[in-house]
Amino acid sequence: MAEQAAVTLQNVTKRIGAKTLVDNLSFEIPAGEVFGFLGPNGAGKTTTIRMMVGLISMTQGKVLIKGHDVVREHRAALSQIGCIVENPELYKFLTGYQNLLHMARMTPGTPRARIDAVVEMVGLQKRIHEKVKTYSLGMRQRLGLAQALLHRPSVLILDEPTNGLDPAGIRELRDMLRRLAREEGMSVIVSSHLLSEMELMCDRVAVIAQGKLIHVERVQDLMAIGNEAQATIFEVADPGAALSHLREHLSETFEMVTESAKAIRLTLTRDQIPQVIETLVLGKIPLYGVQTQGKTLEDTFLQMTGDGVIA
Amino acid sequence: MLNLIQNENMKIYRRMRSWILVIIMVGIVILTGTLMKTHQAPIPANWKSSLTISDQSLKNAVTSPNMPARVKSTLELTLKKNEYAIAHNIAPSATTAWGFATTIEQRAIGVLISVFVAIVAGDIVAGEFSTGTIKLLLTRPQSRGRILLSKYIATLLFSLFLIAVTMVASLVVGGILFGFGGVDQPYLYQAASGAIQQVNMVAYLFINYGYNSITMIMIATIAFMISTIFRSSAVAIAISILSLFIGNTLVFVLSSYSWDRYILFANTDLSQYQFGTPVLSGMTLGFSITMLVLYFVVMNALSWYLFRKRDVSLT
Ligand SMILES: Nc1ncnc2c1ncn2[C@@H]1O[C@H](COP(=O)(O)OP(=O)(O)O)[C@@H](O)[C@H]1O
Ligand SMILES: [Mg+2]
Repeated sequence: MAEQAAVTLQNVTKRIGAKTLVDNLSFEIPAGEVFGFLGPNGAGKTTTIRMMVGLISMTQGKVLIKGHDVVREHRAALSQIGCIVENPELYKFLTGYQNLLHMARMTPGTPRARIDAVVEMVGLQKRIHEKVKTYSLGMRQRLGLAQALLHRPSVLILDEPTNGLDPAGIRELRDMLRRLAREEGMSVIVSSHLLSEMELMCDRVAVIAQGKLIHVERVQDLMAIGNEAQATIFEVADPGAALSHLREHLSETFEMVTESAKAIRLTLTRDQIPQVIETLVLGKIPLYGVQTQGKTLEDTFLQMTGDGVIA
Repeated sequence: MLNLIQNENMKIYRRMRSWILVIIMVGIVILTGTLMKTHQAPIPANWKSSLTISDQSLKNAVTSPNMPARVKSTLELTLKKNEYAIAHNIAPSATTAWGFATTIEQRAIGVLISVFVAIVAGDIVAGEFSTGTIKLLLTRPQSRGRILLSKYIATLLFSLFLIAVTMVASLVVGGILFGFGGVDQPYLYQAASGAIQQVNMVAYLFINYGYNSITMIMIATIAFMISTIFRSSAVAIAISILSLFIGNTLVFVLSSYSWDRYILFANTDLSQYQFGTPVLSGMTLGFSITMLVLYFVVMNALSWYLFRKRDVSLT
């Protein structure tokens, strides 16, 4: 490829005893991409991340960060990485500022002014000189992120960063990660066991189960996998009138059923739903609600990871 | 490297626990000093004449032909001490700041410093594992060897600090209670050869701390090794303190075996070659130094190897 990938995994494998925790994982992540690492609990996400940051040895394979081998060029590779593995790790008896100072001293060439900059970036200015003991979970997560961003890494690795965040927090994190990727060209790797959180955050996701890579796909394309015909219920005041209107104006034909006195039921693919809504609205037929039944994106994901094959 | 040591120092001195250890140490010095002062028997006015009388009988005993050489030199030592006391008008039971500092170093503080160093050394590595902060240290562009070395150096710096604080505290407390005089007094002792020798009191205090530092460094090394093996502060602290207390007893109990001399604790007290007779016969200063260096290198190499190689997976 023309441009060097920010992160490259080649046949990465981890075996402990007879157990294979991570099995022959290979993928590449370009600069500026938010990459999701998706899989149910125990799939091997944390184990893979630990190998990527040099916390545990690899049984086989290699990891390159900006072309530097994590094992053989440990210093060069690690100076490019900012990470939070599982939980943000902090010294509770130190202040937030002292924690950042501790971090800055470990990465050569981190100016003191940068500490103030990251403190502001995560919005901890008011409490930064207080002991971490007194911080709430959310504040600790912010400080952890500040630690990871302190030395301007080109690769940011976050293991289950949304754990324990409220919806507003998730949204804030998402915006920040997207901005870092877009504005600073940072490659961001986020692991999660929840597909719904990845949809809006990531450009691309890798799905793993039982240590094996099942699928790497752009998020839009992954959503298309869930694009199968499913029962969709439209709440209307007069089902009969609605049905005849649709029969008249829709170009395609669908299986249409009158569900009850207040709703109609159609078998549609995900892509067809907006078309039906539009037709109803244009026909001035009052629409009170739309519900889909049957398989959702989440179901597709579960099916993929559960069976180990794509549905 | 300097940055890493600075970090370790920050984590030691920003912590309440380290200061509690320092406060306990100073507290013990003050308490012991006060107790010694209040329980001190008054010096009798006629101490010189009674000393002269007992010297006379000592002299008779020394000149007696059937006295064993060993006992003879012990008696001669007492005689020398008495003669010095009379000549310089210093009652034998009188204490000075220097004498006080030396006494409590030998009786209490010496062991306590090793205990406190074991607490800090046992926690400085294992503590990072139990809190998970080890992940911060090992995901930075620093080799694991340097991280471990910085912790080792910081531990030794803390021991040095603890020694300095106790020495100053015991001299100040001793000086206030017993006076700062006697800087020029000698400490008389019987060398291993049986000959009676002397060193300056102040020098003797420093020599004592010096010999004790060897035990302290070995205990710190044990605590380090155990904490890299078990990654548990509690286990590391318990084992190193336990070995400090039962080490000497073990050497004594096993003295009938010829391999007893290879036990670390038969060799940690090098003062035995200067101020007395070796615990086990046939041991030499050269042998003990060789053993100490061997133990030091092997234990540190093991810590270093384990710390560098082992996986760090915590849940
Ligand atoms: N030190 C270890 N020894 C043996 N098995 C382990 C160890 N650590 C994790 N595992 C196992 O490896 C699998 C993957 O774990 P992990 O990577 O933590 O999954 P995830 O982060 O995707 O939830 C799990 O089945 C877990 O039980
Ligand atoms: Mg995990």
